[in-house]
Amino acid sequence: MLGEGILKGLGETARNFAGSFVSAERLTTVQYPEERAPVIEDTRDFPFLVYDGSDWEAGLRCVACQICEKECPPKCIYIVKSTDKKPDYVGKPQIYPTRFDIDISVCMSCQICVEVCPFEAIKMDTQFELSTTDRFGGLLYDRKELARSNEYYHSIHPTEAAEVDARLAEEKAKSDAKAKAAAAAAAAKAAGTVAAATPSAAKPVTPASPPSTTVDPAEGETKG
Amino acid sequence: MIEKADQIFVLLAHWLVSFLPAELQHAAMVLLGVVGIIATFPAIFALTVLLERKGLGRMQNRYGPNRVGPYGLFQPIADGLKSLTKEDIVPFSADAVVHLLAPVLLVVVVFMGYAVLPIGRNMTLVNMDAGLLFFFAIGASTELSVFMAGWSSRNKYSLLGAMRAVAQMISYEVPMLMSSVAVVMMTGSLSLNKIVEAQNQYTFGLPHWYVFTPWGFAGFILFAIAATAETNRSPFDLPEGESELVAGYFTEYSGFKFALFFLGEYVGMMGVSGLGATLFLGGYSAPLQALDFVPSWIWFFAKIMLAMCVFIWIRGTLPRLRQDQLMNFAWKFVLPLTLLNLVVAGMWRFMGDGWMRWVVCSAILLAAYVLMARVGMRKERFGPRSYRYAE
Amino acid sequence: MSVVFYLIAGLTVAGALAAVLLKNTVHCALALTVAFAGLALMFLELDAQFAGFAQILIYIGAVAILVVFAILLTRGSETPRDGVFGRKPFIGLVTAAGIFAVLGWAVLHSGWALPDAGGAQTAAPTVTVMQIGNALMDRYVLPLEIVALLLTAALIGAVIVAMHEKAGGAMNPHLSPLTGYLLVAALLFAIGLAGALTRRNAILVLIGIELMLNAANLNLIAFWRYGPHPEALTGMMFAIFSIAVAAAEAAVGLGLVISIHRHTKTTDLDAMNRMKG
Repeated sequence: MLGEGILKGLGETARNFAGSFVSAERLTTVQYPEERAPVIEDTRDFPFLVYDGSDWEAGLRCVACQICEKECPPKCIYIVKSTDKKPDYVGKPQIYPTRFDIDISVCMSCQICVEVCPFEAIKMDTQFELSTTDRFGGLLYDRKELARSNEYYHSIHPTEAAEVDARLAEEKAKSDAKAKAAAAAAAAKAAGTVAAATPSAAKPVTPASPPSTTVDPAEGETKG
Repeated sequence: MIEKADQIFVLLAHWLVSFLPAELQHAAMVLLGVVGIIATFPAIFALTVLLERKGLGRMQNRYGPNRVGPYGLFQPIADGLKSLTKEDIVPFSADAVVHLLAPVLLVVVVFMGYAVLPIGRNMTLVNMDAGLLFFFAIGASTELSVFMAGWSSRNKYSLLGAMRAVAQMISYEVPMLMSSVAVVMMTGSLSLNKIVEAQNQYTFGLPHWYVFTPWGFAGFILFAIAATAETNRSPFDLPEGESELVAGYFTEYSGFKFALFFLGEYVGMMGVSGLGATLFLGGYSAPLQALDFVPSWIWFFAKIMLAMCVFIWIRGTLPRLRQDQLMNFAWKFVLPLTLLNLVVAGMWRFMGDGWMRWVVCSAILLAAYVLMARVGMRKERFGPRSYRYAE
Repeated sequence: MSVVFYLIAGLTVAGALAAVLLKNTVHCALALTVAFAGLALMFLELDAQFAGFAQILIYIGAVAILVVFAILLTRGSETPRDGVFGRKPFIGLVTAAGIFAVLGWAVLHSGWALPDAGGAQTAAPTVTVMQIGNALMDRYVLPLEIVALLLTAALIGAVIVAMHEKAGGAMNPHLSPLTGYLLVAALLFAIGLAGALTRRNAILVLIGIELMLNAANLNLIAFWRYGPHPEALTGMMFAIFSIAVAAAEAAVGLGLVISIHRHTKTTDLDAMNRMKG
């Protein structure tokens, strides 16, 4: 009650003032735009589409299932499905999106599209310096602008990308194993039936296992 | 040489005025003095605003403005240009004449206060016999300007802010007057020049400033508190707090008029700092006899800048006081202490020289301070809250 | 009679006229402040420094603020329905004009043996604050204590009243300095009287009373300055005490107005002409 609190406060402020000239912990300002604050890995700003390999159109993981379009709260995603099928990265014919527009002036970075995508095709980017002088379309990104490679995804979210790749590899391994088992069963069946007919007919039945994806750096490794 | 440096402005003024015929010379001297004041103090105002923003920033672990010019030194120029070129909005139902007159009155009144301050040796603009009374009389007119600003905006929040501000200023005017009356009593004159001359003596190289006596020290602290409240400065800035009442009584002001209010507030702050320096810190006298060679006006400005730094420091440290806490503080703590200070000053005079009077006066003041702090500022004990709902 | 005197007198009279004639009560209060400032300047012209600064400090710094607060607390800033003047303003105006005529005639036909010889001013008395202080403690200590008691009583009284209840020669055409000041004082008195007699709002009546008190103060200081014994300080002391008493009276009067407003919800004097309530 006698004013010693005021004096203590004055001392603290004086220490702040003097300390701000000498120590960095008393002056934590980052002088933007000359310096940037250190980037945190889990930053999320606006979505982008992931593609495997080097051809963005062929390697695009998105199959235009339109789940993200339905789940997006402000409805900033606009997808037009294709009518034909093109071979995807592994060669399998897949539907692809002919139009995939995101209006990032509407997008609220809620990440729901990322959470609901079953194909790990849409992920969150970390860029925020996206202002433009074009009022009427500068912030409407189309398919080409949204597509970024998997390497880019690894560079911005290494842990997440590693997990995603591991999961994809695991699923692929499982589906490969299943296919191999099915093929072996079919071959065995065919061998059983053809053994009575011609032994050479079993040969061409070996299923053409897709060439193993060499691009996955985490192939075979399950990172914990 | 030292004499010349000390009296340089006086000599300059005399030289300039010597070109005029004799009957105009006195008026010309006064006019030159006025021009000097109007040129100097707004420049110091610009410096102070910059100092405040950068100083507050450093205290709050951030840089202040540092983009405009090296280390942000041209920020006041940018601010000035901004306020000059902003659109001047006057609300439709506001009283346009009074709305315009309020900042004008404030600025005129605070500048008039500088007329009696002794800025250096022989550098008082008007050497009045009742100089201190003039300063306080003029200072009382600032309340009227605040009221006019709040009322003319026809805005409930402005009016509320203005009422609070006027109540606060009136409450703290009495302690300010009383703490200076102790100085007047000891000097025997209301003239500020005589007060400074009384403090301009040295014993063993230490000056006779009033702040170095028990009653002077207490008086200085009380005067500082009252001056902070008079100029609506943190922690007493409820009337203009941004988070409380939008901007209080200057909500409806924009552009140049707002800049005038801002100017008036800071120039007023410098005026009361100058008065405090004159009354308690010896005005233009040097702190040690050895430092007498430094010109007197440099000491005066140094003391004003020191006071501004303390104002900024306190602003960066203390939270705002609520209106009722503010008023309680004024009437139940500061005013009784100032009255007691008067009595102690009288005792000091009549006890004669010696160590005895130091001990007795300090003891009385300390005891009173502790007593008032315990008794006068006790928290009210509230009963459990009861609510009444509308039926 | 210097130009300065005419300017200041013009300002004061204009302020006083505006104070009793304007519709908006707050404007009236602000015009009253201008009148007070003009009077302070006149005191300074009459070399009564202390009285002039006391006038600014007390009247502008305290009484004007009191009046303004009272106006705000009684919603006086709204124009009353039936106009600003009372039902029969003519009688008040005639009375005031008559009083001004008598006072003016008396001033101009002054038969007093005062040294107002053609324009030459008497030497300005050098009054220091030290002398005033000595006089207050010496000759005028009794009035000082009585005024102190009066102010305390007024302070307590105002608080209690306003608290919630469980608040007029041969005709001398030459206008010597003294005559000029006396004429201005008479004019101010008449304006104040007219305002007090003709306006509806109770606060305007108080404004008129303040103007009349100020006019009397101006008379006191003018007579002190041009009188036979300015070193006796009598006129100045009387004026200072009068300022103090006027401040006390303003406080109590405005407290009364607020208390009445709380009860009758109006400050219109024409509506308060019955004891019923």
